[in-house]
Amino acid sequence: MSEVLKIENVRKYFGKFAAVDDISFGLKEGGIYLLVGPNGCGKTTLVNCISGIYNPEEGNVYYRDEDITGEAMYKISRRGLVRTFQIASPFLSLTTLENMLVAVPKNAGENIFFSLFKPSWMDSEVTAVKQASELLGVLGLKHVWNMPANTLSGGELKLLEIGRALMCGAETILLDEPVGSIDPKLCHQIFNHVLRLRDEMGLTFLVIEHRLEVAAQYADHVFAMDRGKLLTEGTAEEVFEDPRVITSYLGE
Amino acid sequence: MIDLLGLTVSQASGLSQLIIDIAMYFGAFVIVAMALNFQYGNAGVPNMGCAVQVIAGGFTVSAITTRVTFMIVKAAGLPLMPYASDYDWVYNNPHNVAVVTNPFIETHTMLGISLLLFSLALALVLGSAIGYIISLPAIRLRSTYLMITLITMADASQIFGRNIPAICGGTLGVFVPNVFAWYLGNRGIILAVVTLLIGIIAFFIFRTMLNSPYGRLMRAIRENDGTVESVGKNVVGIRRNILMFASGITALTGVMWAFYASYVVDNLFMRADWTYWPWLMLILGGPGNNAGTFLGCALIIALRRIILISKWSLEQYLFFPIAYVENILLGVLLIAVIIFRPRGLIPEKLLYIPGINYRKMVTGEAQVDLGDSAMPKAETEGGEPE
Repeated sequence: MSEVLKIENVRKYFGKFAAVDDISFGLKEGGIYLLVGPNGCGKTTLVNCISGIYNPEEGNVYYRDEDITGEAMYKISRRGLVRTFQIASPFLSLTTLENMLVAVPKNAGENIFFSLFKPSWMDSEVTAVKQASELLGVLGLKHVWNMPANTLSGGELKLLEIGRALMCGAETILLDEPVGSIDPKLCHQIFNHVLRLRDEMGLTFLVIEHRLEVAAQYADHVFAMDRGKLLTEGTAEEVFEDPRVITSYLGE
Repeated sequence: MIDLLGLTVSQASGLSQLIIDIAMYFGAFVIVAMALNFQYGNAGVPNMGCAVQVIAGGFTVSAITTRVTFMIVKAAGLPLMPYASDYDWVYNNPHNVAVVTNPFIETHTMLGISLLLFSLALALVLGSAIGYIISLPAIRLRSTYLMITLITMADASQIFGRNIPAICGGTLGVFVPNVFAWYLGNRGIILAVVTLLIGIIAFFIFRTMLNSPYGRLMRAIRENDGTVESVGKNVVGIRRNILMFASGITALTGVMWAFYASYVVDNLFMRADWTYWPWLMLILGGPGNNAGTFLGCALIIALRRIILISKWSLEQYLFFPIAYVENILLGVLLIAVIIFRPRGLIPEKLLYIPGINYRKMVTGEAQVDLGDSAMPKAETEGGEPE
């Protein structure tokens, strides 16, 4: 398996504070990777550097062997590297279906001039609705397709985050706390979706998560961060038995 | 030589003149308000610089159409006074327009119509260019800061107009050719008809755009631009297109208003008139839907007329100059709307794109009612959308 995403010596400073300090790792295609670390250790900052929200001061990010360091987020997303947000960020007054439809890439009707000519975008709209409807079925969101996103439950919103990423043709998904503040049963459901998507569609996942007891069993490989640095990496058992990881989470 | 209602200026009674006036005001303001609804109500771009977009149209007429007309008239061999220097441009302007140009257009209908179309087309282009310029800060700034920047841009363009006589004659202003001189009836009628016609065309264009995936994308940007960016859409580019398009349409109002006033001076396009009142119309009617925009526009225009006509009866009770009455009353109305009807008189109804059977495509059932999505938000959400 080739490395689909590779980051090399990435550093990001806020003032003199190094939020991400010289981090390098690679993700192989079709893997589920877990990124753990205490609050404020730079996990989200790292994801922001990868997904194009921040431009790292040093280091490079490669996606499918192309340098994407400092590229705009929408361009990175078009390459198939898509992120979700820690706090679910749907379009609150649009329905679940519309939330999905907004993510369709190259929708002909989203051009300011072609939008005036309905026949020119009707086909792509119908295809998009079918695709969205299928994905909603896969994620178990079909019963809320017609509900505005502001009436969805926390768990449904987290699923919608994943659905939206899939809708825009993601091949590698950066999931920022996909099961934060979610009950244990639904946590496992969400991770089972992740597993299924990996197995059926060959997607690669980098998951940021604090709920180690839930997430660990699904991860192929775990990275542990502390104070902006990569502490250790390996299988879940190896990492969670590492005394440095235990100290960083629980204190001395 | 056409006369739509058989009215001439001398025949027009006070009442019919009032109706014509209100129609003209409605036509002009509804275009600005619809464009603002497109920008703010749907895409969430808080454009506090509507005035600069209108000014783009007004200055197009004064600085370019007027000169082009002079060139044509001169080429036709008529005795035009010199207009090249700033001094001549301003001081010979009344003679050149009223004595030489307008009588010429009176007998050359096609010239008048061509000049009108030329002005509108040029304003569309220059308005879009202005939209591009005002979109530059929109890349970095959001809501409040963008609003402040656009207010200052509108004021700055007015100051340019006042201090560069070549644009619109500085503080004195310049007359612009009467492109409807060939119409022998009351020119207010034809101006109102053409303006309303532009308004109707603009309405259909805006409506078609909003009822398409583009409209959905705009609303998504309004709700959460970061998320739109994360799914691979160039939000900055989309915002820029929206500003450019809406600016082009708004500039058409500037053209019609310049012809209506038959005179352009910088304070013809005051910030209060062309930015604040369209905002008030939008907020009163309800941002996000054209019906609200129409209602807000009609109510504010009617209210302003009523205040204008009846404010003198208040004079004996006032301890401040009567000129402020209108601004005070409309300001109080704005505050009242924000407190008591933050979503406006006609709140936005979010619907699926009409004419597409989404229910059938998703669930396989036949759709009974288009866009019947549950909308509890309308009742629960209080605040004005950011």
